[in-house]
Amino acid sequence: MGDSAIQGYIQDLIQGDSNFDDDGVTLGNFRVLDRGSPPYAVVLPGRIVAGTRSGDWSQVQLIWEHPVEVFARFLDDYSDFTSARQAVVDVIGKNPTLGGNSEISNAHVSGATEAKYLYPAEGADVPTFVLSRVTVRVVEEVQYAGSGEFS
Amino acid sequence: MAINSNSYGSVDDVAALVRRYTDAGSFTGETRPAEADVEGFINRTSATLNVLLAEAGFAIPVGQADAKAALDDFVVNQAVQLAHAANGAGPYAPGNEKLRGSPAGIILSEAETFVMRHAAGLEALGATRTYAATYGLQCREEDDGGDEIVPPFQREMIGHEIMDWDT
Repeated sequence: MGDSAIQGYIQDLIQGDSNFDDDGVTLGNFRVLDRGSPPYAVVLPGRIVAGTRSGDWSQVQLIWEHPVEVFARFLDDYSDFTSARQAVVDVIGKNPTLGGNSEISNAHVSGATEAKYLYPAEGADVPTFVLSRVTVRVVEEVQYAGSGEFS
Repeated sequence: MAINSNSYGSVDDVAALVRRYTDAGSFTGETRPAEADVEGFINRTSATLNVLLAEAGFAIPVGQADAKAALDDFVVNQAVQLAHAANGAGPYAPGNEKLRGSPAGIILSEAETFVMRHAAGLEALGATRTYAATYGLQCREEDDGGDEIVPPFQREMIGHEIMDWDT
């Protein structure tokens, strides 16, 4: 378990949402922006914001925060963007163990930035994409029984 | 709108280079630019090329495979830049400080350079050239009254001597 597994759980959940194509949800691959099938979600490696011993001392509770960058093409309004971001918020909210994983005791969206814009390198004031960085907070219960000092 | 029979390149060729503006790899009525817009980019750029090709004596559209591939590439790349411009990006984007002149003027200039500099190459490949590069140059032998026109200057008039280098 750990960072990679949590990224995968988040990816799986978002891929299961009808707003997104499977190939439009990646682990850190921003080249997806060239696919031509928005919206996209890019799941990035997380950070540990807190950790503590718990249970019978062989257990460690880690609190992760994983960024998920949600992109939509900027055309005439924000409807595609808001739908995509809401879909991410909802799919995480409906799955507090990220899809039935015993080592996850809680998961929810803990924040999201306002709309941000991705502009072309050259050109006028027309953004190509609108995006938001959604933060998914995950509580992981890591069991070390049978290893190290607990063997 | 559709691609004209005299045009070069295809909408799919353009889409392959700017997938981010497409709907899963294809331009549609909902994309920016829309499919009809891209067809217009292709038709108008091709028309510019055809004007210049005709001026250089070529039968249009050029059908020889290699020559046509080169013309396809020119048109597709220009259409790609116009697709960027439709999204406020690329060298033809409105507001681009590096843009000098109109996109149409730049395309005409680049097409002119391409066709005029490489007309011999197109011909050498087998592109049909219906008349010579001297097309348009004429020699008038009679005046309006039907009298023979005598050139004001003739050989041997002003100290010019004809030399036979073989003797």
